[in-house]
Amino acid sequence: MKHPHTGLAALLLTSSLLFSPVCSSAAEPKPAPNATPQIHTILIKGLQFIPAELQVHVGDTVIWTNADIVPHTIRASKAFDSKNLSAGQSWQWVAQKTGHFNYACAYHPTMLGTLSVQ
Amino acid sequence: MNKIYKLSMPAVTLLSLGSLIAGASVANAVEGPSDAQIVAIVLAADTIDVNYGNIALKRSKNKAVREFAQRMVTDHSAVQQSVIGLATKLGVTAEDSPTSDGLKQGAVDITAKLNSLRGKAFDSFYVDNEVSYHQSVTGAVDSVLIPSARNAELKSALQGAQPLFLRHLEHAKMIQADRSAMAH
Repeated sequence: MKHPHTGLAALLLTSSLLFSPVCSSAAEPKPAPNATPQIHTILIKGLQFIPAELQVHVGDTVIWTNADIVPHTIRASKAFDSKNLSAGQSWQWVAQKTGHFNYACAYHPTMLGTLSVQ
Repeated sequence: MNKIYKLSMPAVTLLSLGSLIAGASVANAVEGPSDAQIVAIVLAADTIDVNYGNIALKRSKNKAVREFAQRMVTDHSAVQQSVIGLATKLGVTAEDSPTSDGLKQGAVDITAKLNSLRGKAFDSFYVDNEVSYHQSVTGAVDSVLIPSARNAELKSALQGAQPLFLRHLEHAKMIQADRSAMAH
């Protein structure tokens, strides 16, 4: 007669093997605490980036919207460049690597913002 | 700054904007220019800087100066269109005043000066004038035009335009401070 707990033990052992980190390949990264990509918005208004400082995660999308009556750009050295962004237009960028990105409007060089990608 | 061509914004322009500010501070601020006069003052100020910018685009070969000049043309043209649109919506007809007339008169002298200069002398004079001009304009907008505007939408439009004028001033000062960027 089969021990009444043998099946349960086998189930538990199998489950532990399936979900044990030991079974994970050493090359696979640990899942991020917040794996779902987020969408962040930055408003360009009054010749300011609002918010001027933003923290996002790899995979997140950042959308800038120009609410001014004059055109702007969003440029961070070689990282990203929206080119001309007319009044009312939006532009988006997906963070694909970690880093700290200082950016500015090429037309109004005292308009500054920073993105921290974690 | 090129000492030979020491900047001296025409007395007419300074007096025009200066008296606007002084007069308003002495009298009740509510008794400042009317909305119709405010519209004319803003349109005159924008037109003048667009014209200065176009002269710079023709006469300057300096990258920083040309980029700034293009910005003045683009941005002040946008403000012009916005003000015209708002005035039309509100049924306000621009009305000339001693202030707007003074601005235009002063611009005649500056324009003649700009058209007489070349190279570094032009660039220095243009940038120095832009700093002085935007200082005067932002001061007048802040201390007289915004407080005097009676229509809420006009007041809001002026408040919205002020950050633009202040950024222009910052930009002009940045170029002014970096004389090496204006070296040919």
